[in-house]
Amino acid sequence: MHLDDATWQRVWSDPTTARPMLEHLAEGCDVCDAFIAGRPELDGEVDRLLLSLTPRPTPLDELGWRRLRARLSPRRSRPALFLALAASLAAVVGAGFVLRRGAALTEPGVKGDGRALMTVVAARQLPTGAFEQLSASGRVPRGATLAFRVTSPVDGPARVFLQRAKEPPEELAQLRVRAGVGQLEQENGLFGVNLEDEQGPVTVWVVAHATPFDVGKALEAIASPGSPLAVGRVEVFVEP
Amino acid sequence: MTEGMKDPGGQIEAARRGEESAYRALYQRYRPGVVRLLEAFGTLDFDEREDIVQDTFARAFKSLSSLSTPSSFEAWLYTIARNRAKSALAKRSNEDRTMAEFTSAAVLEVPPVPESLQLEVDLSVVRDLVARLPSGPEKDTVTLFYVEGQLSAREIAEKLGVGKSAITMRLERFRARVKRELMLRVLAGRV
Repeated sequence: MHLDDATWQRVWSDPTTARPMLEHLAEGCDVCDAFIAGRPELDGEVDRLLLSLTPRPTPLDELGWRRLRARLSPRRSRPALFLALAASLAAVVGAGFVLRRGAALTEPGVKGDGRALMTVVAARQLPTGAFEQLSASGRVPRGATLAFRVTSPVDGPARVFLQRAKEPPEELAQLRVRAGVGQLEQENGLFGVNLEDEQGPVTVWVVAHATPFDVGKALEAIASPGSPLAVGRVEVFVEP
Repeated sequence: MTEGMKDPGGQIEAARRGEESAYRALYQRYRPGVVRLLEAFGTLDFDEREDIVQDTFARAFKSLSSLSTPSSFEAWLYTIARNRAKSALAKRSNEDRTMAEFTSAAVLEVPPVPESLQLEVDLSVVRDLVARLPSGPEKDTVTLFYVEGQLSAREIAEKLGVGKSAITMRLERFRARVKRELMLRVLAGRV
């Protein structure tokens, strides 16, 4: 007699079944031990016990909390997914406004800059699914969805942030960028940002590096021009 | 007593009502445990670990209504974290993508912990299991990770001069012993 799914259910529901199984288990049984090790029911309880062996201080991870709060809040901008639209986006933003570091940010419309020559341009998705270059003013209607094209100096992980006026940047996604020119993509297609709940000036930041970096380093890079991380941004104004 | 140290049952009820301060308090209280749990996975890097921490809490908070008893919150949270870690590792290695996706989708369908396991179990049982381990690499690893509780699996691997996977396997082997002992005790209390 060994534990299997049916026996397991009976043991927990019928104590009379448990006695012979208890005697069997007490003798030691590799087959049953392997079965128990694979059952998920006790995982959490075992971890709770083991982790209780060493009490830990509970300082608040403020940055982590802010990131989590942004994920939980229903009013926050939602990353959007576009499929099979990369070509049309490339056509639109290929001729878009691309500013490199050092360029004046007086060019109307989409603006980008970078601490390591990263450039970012955006296009708006129309209800038809096609993409449209942003207007010269950079103004977009509320509810617009933006997609992005990046010229990256590095091949590696990237973090995308959204920043509202007078608020700190909030992380939206973790992606990868390829060195050179390419669309900002996530696992299943193009990455986009929905501005349905936004109003006024909004900046989308893209931070990338050849090796993994944490969110704190990304925020430092946004705040500090001296960071080794590549940083690019797009500024738009969401109409009321 | 800080806000994060208040009665977790009350905090969970408040979080179910959508009170942000309760989310914050629960995050503060349980984040160190989740991080420590993930540190047992020697092959997870820092970024992956932090992402799983975020994912674990986001999923747990969004599914609090499915938690039958607030007292099982901690064990439930750890189950989600463990499943997320396994899913992330499976996905990364691409050994079994289908399994990874299945695990990811099913992560919130955590089986309910039997009521009898929600009793406080004397930690001396676990300490005794550690003490009874024969001297050797497994005991050294378990003592460093669970008893002394300072080093991650990666750091223990460096300290002992072995691979990260070996440390994770030793910890998993000990977890299996604890799980078996726990089941024996629970069953003994029911017959």
